[in-house]
Amino acid sequence: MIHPLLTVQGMDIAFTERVCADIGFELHRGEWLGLVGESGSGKSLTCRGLIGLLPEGAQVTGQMTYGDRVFDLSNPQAPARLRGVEIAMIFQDPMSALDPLMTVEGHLKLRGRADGADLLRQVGLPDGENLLKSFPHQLSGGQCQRVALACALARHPKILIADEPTTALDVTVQAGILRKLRQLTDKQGMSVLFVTHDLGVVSEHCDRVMVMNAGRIVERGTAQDVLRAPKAGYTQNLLRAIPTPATRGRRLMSATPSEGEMSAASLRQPAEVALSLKHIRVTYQRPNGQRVNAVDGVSLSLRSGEILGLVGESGSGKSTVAKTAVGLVHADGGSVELAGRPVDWHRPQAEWRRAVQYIFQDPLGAMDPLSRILDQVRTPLDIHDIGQRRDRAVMAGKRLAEARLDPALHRKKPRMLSGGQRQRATIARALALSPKVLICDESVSALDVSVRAHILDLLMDLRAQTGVAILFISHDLSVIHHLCDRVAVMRGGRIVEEGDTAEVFATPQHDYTRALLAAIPKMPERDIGTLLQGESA
Amino acid sequence: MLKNALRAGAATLVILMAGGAMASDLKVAVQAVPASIDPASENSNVSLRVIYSVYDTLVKTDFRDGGKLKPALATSWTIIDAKTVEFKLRPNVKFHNGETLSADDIVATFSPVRIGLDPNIPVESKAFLGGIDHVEIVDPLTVRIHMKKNDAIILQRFANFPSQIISAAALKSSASYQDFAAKAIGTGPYKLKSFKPGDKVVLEKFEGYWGEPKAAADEVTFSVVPELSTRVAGLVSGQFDLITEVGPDDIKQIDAGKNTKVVGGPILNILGLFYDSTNDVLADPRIREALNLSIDRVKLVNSFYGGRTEVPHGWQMPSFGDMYLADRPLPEYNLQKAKALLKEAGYNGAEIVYRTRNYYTKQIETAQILQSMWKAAGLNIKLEIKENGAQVFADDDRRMIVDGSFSAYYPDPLGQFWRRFGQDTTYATGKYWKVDPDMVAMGDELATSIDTARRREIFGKMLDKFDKEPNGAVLYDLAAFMGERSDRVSLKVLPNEYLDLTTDGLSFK
Amino acid sequence: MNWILLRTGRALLTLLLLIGFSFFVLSISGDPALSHLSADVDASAIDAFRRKWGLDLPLWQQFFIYVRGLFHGDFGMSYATGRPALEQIMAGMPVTVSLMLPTIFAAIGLGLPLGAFAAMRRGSTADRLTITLSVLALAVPNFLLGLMLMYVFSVHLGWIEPSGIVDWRSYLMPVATMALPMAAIFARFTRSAMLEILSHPMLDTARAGGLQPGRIKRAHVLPNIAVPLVTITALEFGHLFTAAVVAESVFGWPGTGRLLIDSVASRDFAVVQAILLLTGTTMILANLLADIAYGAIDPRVRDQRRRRVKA
Repeated sequence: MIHPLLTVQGMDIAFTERVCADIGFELHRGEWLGLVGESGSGKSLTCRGLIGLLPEGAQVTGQMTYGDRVFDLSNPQAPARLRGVEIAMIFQDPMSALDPLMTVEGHLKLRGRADGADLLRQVGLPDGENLLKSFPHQLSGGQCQRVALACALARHPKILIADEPTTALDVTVQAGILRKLRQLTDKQGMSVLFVTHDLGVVSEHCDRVMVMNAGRIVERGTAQDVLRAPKAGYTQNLLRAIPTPATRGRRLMSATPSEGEMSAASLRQPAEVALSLKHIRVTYQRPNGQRVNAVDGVSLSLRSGEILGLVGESGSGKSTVAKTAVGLVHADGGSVELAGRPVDWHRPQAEWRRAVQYIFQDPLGAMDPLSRILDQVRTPLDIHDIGQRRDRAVMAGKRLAEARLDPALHRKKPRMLSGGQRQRATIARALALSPKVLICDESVSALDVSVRAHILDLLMDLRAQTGVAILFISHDLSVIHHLCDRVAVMRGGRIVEEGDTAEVFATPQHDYTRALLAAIPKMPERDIGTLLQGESA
Repeated sequence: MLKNALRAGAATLVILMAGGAMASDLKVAVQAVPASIDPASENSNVSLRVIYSVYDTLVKTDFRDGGKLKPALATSWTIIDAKTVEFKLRPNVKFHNGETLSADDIVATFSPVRIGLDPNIPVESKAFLGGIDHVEIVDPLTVRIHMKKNDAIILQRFANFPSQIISAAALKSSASYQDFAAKAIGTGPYKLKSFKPGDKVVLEKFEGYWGEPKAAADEVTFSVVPELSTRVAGLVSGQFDLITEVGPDDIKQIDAGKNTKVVGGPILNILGLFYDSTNDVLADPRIREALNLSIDRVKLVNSFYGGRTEVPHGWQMPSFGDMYLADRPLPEYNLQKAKALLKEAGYNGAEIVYRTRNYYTKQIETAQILQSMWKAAGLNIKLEIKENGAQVFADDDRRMIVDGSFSAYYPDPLGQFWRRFGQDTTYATGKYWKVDPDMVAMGDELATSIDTARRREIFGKMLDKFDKEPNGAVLYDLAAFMGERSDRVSLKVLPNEYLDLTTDGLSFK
Repeated sequence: MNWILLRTGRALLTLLLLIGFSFFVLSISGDPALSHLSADVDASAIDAFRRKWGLDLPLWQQFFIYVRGLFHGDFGMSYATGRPALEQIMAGMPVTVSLMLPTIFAAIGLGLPLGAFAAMRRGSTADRLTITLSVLALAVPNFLLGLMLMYVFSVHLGWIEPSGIVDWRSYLMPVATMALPMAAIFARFTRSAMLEILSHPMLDTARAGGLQPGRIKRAHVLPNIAVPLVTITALEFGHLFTAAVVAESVFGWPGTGRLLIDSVASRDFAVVQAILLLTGTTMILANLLADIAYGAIDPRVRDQRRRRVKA
C-alpha cells in the first residue's frame, strides 16, 4: 500500500461545545477527496483546523501526519508552518479573497512570484500581462477565483484545500475552473481536499468522498460507490433531496401531509394567461453615460397553475425582467398585462399588488428584523384591508401553516429562525394576499439541498392547491428541470430559447443552452427503485 | 570669611534682582478688556478699570474721603451761575504724548464729536455731557464751560466719567475718531504701553506724572481670561496678582487659600427692575406696588452674598453726601399689604412675564427667587431667560418686567434715579411708561436748582410718589469682588468699578 | 475637470448658505448696536452706530453689500474694534493653528496605536480598558476636562501656569483637552476598522498562503484601514476648531476660537462671518484632501472617478 501524503487522526474541534468529533482520514498523492455536507456540518472547520486557521477560542485535539512529520493539532502554530508551502487553501467568495487595494501582481509578488504572467497562464488566464496591473474589482468572479488559485499555487504546495471554490460562480465558469484545476493537479501530482455541498461536482471530479453531518463523518468511500449506493441514512436523504431528471415533477421529500396531491396540477391543462410580458425593454445608464440594454425585447407569458422557469447566468437580465412585472423596475418599452389587462406601474393600484408577489433570494434581508413572523404575514392583510381585523391573525397563522412553518415559531423574530424557516415565512407572507402570480427570484439558491427540497415540494404543493402561477428564476438547471413545466433561457438580455422543459433539456436548440446543459455536473444514474424504497421506509 | 561675604552678597544680589523685577509688575486677569480706551467711546466696567489709571478729570472725586471734590487738572473752580463754571488749569501738566495741558485740551475734550453731537460717530457720552453748550477759553489756563440749561450737578459732571481730559493734539492728528480712540493719550499716572483688543492691555508707569500719588507698579498687564475658574486657578497658582469678577460662590475658596484673599464690596450700583406699565396687567399701579411689597430683599442679599452687600434705602446711595436722605426706610416688605392691593386691583392671576438674561452676577438666580416670592403673594410670573439685551428689551407685548443696573454715575439722584426714570431717558422714549407730569415738573427742578435743601425736599417727594406708582423696584446694591494674591500685593478697593493702581490703592509686599 | 468645477461650485454655494444662514439668524436674534453700546447710551448714539455700520438698511440689503464686498476681497469691518475683520482673525489664527496642529498629531499618534493594539488583543483586559477610557474621554465635556487638568497641574501641583501662553508647557493642557476626546474617537474608530479588516476573508487567503503576520499587517491591514482613517480625520478637522473654541476660552488663549464666541455674543457680524468662511473653507479643503487621498489609496474610487471624468 502506498503511504498516504496526509493522515488525520482523532480530530475534535470545540468552541463552547463540540462541533467536530473524531475526524480521521487519509489523503493520497494526486487524489481528489470530496468532503460533502450541509451548512453547519463542520466541513469548513475541519479544513481550517488542518492548517491552524480556526477562529479564536477553538479547542482542537488530534494529530496530523504530513509525509513523515507529525503535528499536534491542539497547537495551531504547528501546522501553520505547512501553509502555502505544503498545503494551500482557496475559499468560497473569490471577490473578497483578494485585497481590493492591491494589484494582481502585488498579490503574487507577496508570495514570491515575479513571473506572474506565467502563473496566470497556468490557471487559465491567458492575458496575464494585462491582468497583472489590474485590481480585483476590475475582474470577474471567475477571474478572481483563478487569481486566488494562482496565489494558492504560487509556492508549489502538495495539497490544495478547496472550500466551496465554485459555489458562487455560474455553472459554465465553474466547469471551466474545475477542468483547469483537474489538469493542474494531474500534471503536478497534487492532492485536493474538495469541500462542496454539490454532489454533482463530487461525482464528476472526486476520487473518494466523505459525507459529514453534525460534525461527524457519517460515510466514506469511492465517489461512485457512495453516490450510487449510499449506506448511511443521512447520505440517502441527502441524495434524495437532489433533483435529477428522474425526480422531475415529483415531490422530493417524504413524510409530508399532502403526499397524495403531489404534482397533480402539472398534468392539468393550464387555463387563462395570468401574467404576460410583451417586448419588455430595460436600459440603464452606465456611469460613463453609455446606455446598455439590460433587457432587450423579452416576451413571456405565464398561465394560471403553470410554473415557468427562467434560467440564465448572472447578468443575463432575468431578475430585471421579473422586476418589471411588479413595478420594481420600470420598463423602457413593452407592456405588462395581468389577466389580460394592461398594467402601468407608474400609477400602481392595490389590486395589482395583490395579484403579483415577489420572493427574493435572501429572506433575512426581506424581513423586518424587529417584528414577529406572524405580524409580518399579517401586515399585507392590514394594508389591503382583507377580512375582519380580528380574523387577520388567524388568517396569517393559516398561511404560515400552509407554508409548513411550525406554529411554535409564528411568534418569533426572523433572527431566531433558520434560513429555510425564514424562506417559508416569506412565502407565507407572499401568499397572504392569495396572489395569482408568484415570482421566486433565486429563492432557493442560498439554501442547503435538503431545505431546498422542502421548499421545492412546498411550491409544487401550493401550485396544486391554489392554482397560482409561478415564475421561477434560477441559475440552477437541475432545479428548473425538476420543477418547471416550461423554461425560458436568457442570455445578454434576450430569450435565446423557450419551450417545454422536458423538450428543451432533451433536445436543446440553441448553442448556449447546450453549453449550459453540458456544464451541469452530472450525478450518476441512480436506481429509482432504491430511492422510492427509501422514501417509503 | 571673604568667601562667606561673597556668598551673602551674591545671595542678596539675586534677591534684589528678583525682587526688583517682580515686585513692581502687576498681573491682572480680567474677564474682558475694553474695545477702546477712550472714555467717550465705551461705558463698561472693564473700561472703567483701565481709564482710571490713564486719565485725570478737572476735579477729582476723592472716594477715599467721602466723595469730596478736590483739585486735579483744575487747581480751582468757580460756579459762576447754574449754567456756567470756570476752571483754572494746573500749569505744566504733561500728557503721555509730551504735550502740555492747556485750555485747548479742555475744548477738545468737550468738543461736539466727543459729547455725542456728531450724528455719524457713536459715543457713550451724550447722556452725560450732551448738555454742554460750549467751552470758552478765557486764557490758556482758564476755561469757562457753558451749559445749555441750569445744571444742578454742574461741578460733579466734570469730576466723573466721562469727563476725563484728553489731548487736543492727539485728537487733531488722528485721521479718524477710531484712530484717536486707539491712542489713549491722557495725563494719568500710567500710560498705555500696548493694546491687543480681546487679549491684553499693558500699562506702564508714566514718569512725567504731574501729581500725587504716583503709579504703584512699573507695569500693569490686564490679560483676558474669560473663564472664572481659570482666573481663580491663576490666582492660586500665582500666575496673577489680581483677578476680577469673582463670583459670590468663589469667595470662600479664595479666602481659604493661604496667600489669596477676596477684596471688594458694593459699587455704587443698584440691581433693580423696570416695569413696563404700557401693558394691561401692569398698567394698574396697585399691582406694581404689590410687586414691590412682595420682595424680601434682605433674604436675597443674605442668600447670594452672605451679607457682603446691602439693600439701599430707596433709589439713593450714601455717597450722595448732602443729597442722601438717610432717614428714609428700607423698601417695605409686606406680603399682607401686597395681597390686599392685588385684591383691591381685582388681579385675576393674569400671566406677568419677567424677561432676564445671564449678565449680572446672580441675575438669573435672583429672578428665580423673585418669582417664588411673587408666587407667595399670588402673582403669576412667567420667567423667560434670553440670550442678550436686545431680546430682553425688545418692545413687544411680552415685555413686562425686565431687570437692569442703576449705576450712580454722579453722587446725586440725577446720576441714578432720574437718569433712569426721567422723561428724557431711553426708557421713557422706549415706551416703558409715561412719566407723570407732576413728576416731570419735580424732576426739572431737581435738575436745575442749585439749592440743596430744596432739592432734598423735592427728591423725597419724588421717591414717595414713586413708591405709590412705581415704574421699577430696588433690589440690592451690586457688588464687585476681586481676588488678591495677598502675599504679593495689597489692594484697597474703591466703592465703585474704578481700579486705583496708585500708591494709595496698591502696594507691593 | 468637470468634477473639480462641480465641486468648487458646490463648495461656494455651501459657504454662501453658511454665512447667509448665520447672518440672518444672528440678525434677528440680536442687535449689534445694543450689544456694543451700554444700556445708558443716548438714543442718538444708537442711531449713529447703525448709520456708521449700515445697520439702518434693510437686512437683505446689508447682506447683499456684505457679499458684494466679499467678491472684492473685503471681509468687512469689526464693529467692536473698527478694524478689518480679516486682520483681527489673522491676528488670532497663529494661536489657534498652534493649538490645532499638535492636537491632531497627538490625537492620531495616541488614538491610532491604541485602537490598533486593542483590536489585535480583542476581548483582553487591555482592550476593555481602552474602550472604557475612550468612553470616559468622550463622555467628559472638553470644558470640564480642561478644568480638571487645570485643577491637578496648576492649582494642586503648581507645575503649569493655567492661562495664556507663557512657555512651551502652556501647550500641554489645552492640547490635552482638545486631543484626548479626539484620540478616543480615533482609537474607537481604528479599533472597529481594524476588527473589520482582521475578519476579512482576504486575510484568510493571506494566512493560508503562509504569509507571516507582520507581512500581512503591512501589506493588507494597514492600507485597508487607511481609507476609514482618512474619513475620520477629515471629519475630525471640523471638531478641531470647535475644540479650539472651548480650549481657548477655558485657558484664556487669544485665538480665533475665543474671538468667535465674543463676536457671536456681541453680534460682530463681519468677524463671525469671516471665521465661518475660514473654517468652512478649511472643512471643504479637508474633505477635498480626503477625497484625493481616497483616490490615491483605493483603486475602486480611482476607476469610478475616471469614468465620471470621461463622461
